[in-house]
Amino acid sequence: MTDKEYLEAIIREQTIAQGSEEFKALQDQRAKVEKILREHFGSSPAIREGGSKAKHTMIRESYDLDILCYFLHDEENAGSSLKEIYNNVFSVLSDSYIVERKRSALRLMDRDDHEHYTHLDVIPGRYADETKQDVYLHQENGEKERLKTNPEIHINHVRDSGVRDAIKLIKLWKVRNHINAKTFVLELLVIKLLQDKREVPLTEQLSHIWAEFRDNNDNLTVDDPANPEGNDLSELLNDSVITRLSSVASNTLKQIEEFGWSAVYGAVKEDAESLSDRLREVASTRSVRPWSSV
Amino acid sequence: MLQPALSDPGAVSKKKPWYIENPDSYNTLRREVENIFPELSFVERVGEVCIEGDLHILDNSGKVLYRFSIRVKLSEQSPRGLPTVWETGGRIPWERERHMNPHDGSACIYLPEEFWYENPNGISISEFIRGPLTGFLINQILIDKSENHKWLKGEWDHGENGIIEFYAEHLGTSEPNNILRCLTMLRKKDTKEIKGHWLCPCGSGHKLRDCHRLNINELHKRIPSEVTEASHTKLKRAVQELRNSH
Ligand SMILES: [Zn+2]
Ligand SMILES: [Zn+2]
Repeated sequence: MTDKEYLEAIIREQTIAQGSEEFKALQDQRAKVEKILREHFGSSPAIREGGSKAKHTMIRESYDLDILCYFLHDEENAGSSLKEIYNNVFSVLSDSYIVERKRSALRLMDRDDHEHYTHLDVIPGRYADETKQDVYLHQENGEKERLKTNPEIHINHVRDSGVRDAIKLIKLWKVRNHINAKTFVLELLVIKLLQDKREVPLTEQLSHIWAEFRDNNDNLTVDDPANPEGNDLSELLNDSVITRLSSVASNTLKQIEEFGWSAVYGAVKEDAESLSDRLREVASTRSVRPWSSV
Repeated sequence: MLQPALSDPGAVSKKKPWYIENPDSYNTLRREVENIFPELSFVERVGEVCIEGDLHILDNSGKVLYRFSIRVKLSEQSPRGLPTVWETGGRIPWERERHMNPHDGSACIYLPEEFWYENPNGISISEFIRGPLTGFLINQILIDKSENHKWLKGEWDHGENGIIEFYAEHLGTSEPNNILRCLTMLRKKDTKEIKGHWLCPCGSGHKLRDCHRLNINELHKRIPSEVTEASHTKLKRAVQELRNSH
């Protein structure tokens, strides 16, 4: 197995695939939350998916589904201020879940099993105007009481980055090494560092990112693509986060040099039956005769 | 003076795509597809709607065997029509021999005639992705792994030759002029306009009613007229070119 094949295999193991238990559970949870929100707030709020699901960067070891619930800019159904909206959504969800107040999100825990995170965060907000582009979010504990953002830009920035595989593997690396950095900041960092390296092999992309974390930590800054001037992300990428990224990266690079890539993500289970045989089995009932118009 | 936009009568009378005419069924479809495929999502652009992202190829136990980056452009005619597909991860070369259009990289998964003949009511987009598209992509991997790989259900020849092969299976003749006559019949709006006393296009010399009437009826019933129209144009051009070269 080459290093490239190894990393491909790791990503496959981390893929939440169609029809999988995790995915079904996530869809059920999502439907349940949407039903609750609709029962209380009617048809007017826009309810849609965000987070790693919408960005196509979910990994099995740590995934979440953000449910964005945005009220129209001139609607007062859920409250007139952003804080009221946040609190009203909180209390509506509290009938069915243990709800934890995050900065702008409401994290849902199972009522029967308090330790159990449902992988669902609900993010209430309000559209800034009729165009339904920019959104204002309440901030529970931040410098500013409200945050202006644009979910569409954030999602597209990651989804269309061309480096989603590197993002997935860096997220897995973060989880495995218990690095306390915000995922969305890490995503922005990966995209920025790989700006000119979209076409190079995944192994090279990751080594480059880690080398930058290790050697270049003065330059580890990111801008919010939805609001580059307005939102300062430097607090999320503070000295302690950078120090941690740097030291784990340095260690990771040493391990690759000494023991190879499997030291980073562990061994992959190889199946006895060959890939070709299994592929042929799947294709046997689905093949049709291809053509070519020219 | 000829106005380019009006010179094509088809362009004037062109129907709006179904997803614009019927936003409710579009939203239902979108929700359905995004609920099935975790890493595919709808992207709406001016003039087209595409499904983009990663498609996971699973084995029968649900394990991910392979991943492909794809773009699937919805048919404008119907939610159950034949979509256009691109592989966007650069894994399949744009070659005719690989059934990829060398000009724009689109994948030739189906001969349109066969698509409609096998699925007279079309197929839903998620069935299409799970079925024929997945089969097509797997065959592509198997070709990469072994040069001797044969397409599991066979393959059609390129361009008009593939069209001829298709009708030959239904009429028992591969003579281009006969197929062209068959396509002329199939272009008729109503089956009743295809008269039983006409000569059968198979070349037997018999009247249609005594020969391939049922086959022609079946083809006419299942294959939409846009498809036979396009094949007719393509084949007619090829036959004329052949004549001119002699
Ligand atoms: Zn050829
Ligand atoms: Zn006949």
